[in-house]
Amino acid sequence: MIRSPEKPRTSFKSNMANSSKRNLLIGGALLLGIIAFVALALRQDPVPNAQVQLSRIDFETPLEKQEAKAIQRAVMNTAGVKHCYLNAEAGTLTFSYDLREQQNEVVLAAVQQTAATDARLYQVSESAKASSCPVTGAGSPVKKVLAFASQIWPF
Amino acid sequence: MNTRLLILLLGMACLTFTACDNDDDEPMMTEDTLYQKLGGTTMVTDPAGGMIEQGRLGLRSVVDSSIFVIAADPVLSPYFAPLLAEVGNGNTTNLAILSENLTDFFCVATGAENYTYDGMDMVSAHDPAQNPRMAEKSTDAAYDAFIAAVAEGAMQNNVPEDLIGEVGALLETLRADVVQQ
Repeated sequence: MIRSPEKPRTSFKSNMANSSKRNLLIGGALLLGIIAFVALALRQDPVPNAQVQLSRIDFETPLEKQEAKAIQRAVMNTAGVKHCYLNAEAGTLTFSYDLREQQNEVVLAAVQQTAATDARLYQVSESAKASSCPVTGAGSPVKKVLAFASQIWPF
Repeated sequence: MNTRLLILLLGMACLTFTACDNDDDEPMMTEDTLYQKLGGTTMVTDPAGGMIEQGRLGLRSVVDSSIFVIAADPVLSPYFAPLLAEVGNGNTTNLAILSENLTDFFCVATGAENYTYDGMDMVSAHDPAQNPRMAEKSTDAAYDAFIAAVAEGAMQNNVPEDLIGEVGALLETLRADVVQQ
């Protein structure tokens, strides 16, 4: 008589151990998945021109056309300056420059050498810093949750 | 059996002819979105590095030019003061952040499909009660100045007049949300 092969007997303890290992593996995989998801969600593409600073110079009085042109030329010839815009009627000059290459005081000095009109750097008050155009991208609930998550898991 | 086959064939024939008998003979005329008119999804070299959709690059250029006009305007500068606040070397400047977010907003508003805007909606964003960063309610005069600044930014980038008109019309649709007086 041929006996059918018996199934290997496993104890209750070893079953439990195997089940725990499996659960641990699944749990670990899920945790890794969540961490990877949060890391990917928090990852942001670099902001273009992140180091370009905007600054403003105010003049005492509105500017004449010729003086305005000379000032614009002087500003654009300053190293590190990217772009400038002069509102001659309002007597304001806005310019951008690379923070790694230039300081706004140097640009102001160049302007003062060129302009007959008194000029000074526009200073932003602390209270004004607290308000801005609200298109800041910080208002979405998702970003708030991710910002909270990033405080717990700083990537 | 033959009757069933005949019915089946008749049914298939009906379906076939019904499917063909529609208005496809006339080509579908869909109007381009403003985003498409500004260059759309054609990939071009980004002067800031990498590749970028031409529509987005065009809008970013307009936004960047407009920001200079805005910051130089005494009527608007109170709303945009942090733009001019200095940051330390190594930090992302407020100019760069505003440029990025405002470009996102314009991309979505003009019909871009590959970008999203995550900021607050315009009503909440411009209500000082809901948004503490909005120091005061904006006025019609300030919004007029804003639209004029965007138009000037567009002109500086040689955007055709009819498209500038479309951008202006788009911004007008937001006036009631922004000016809450």
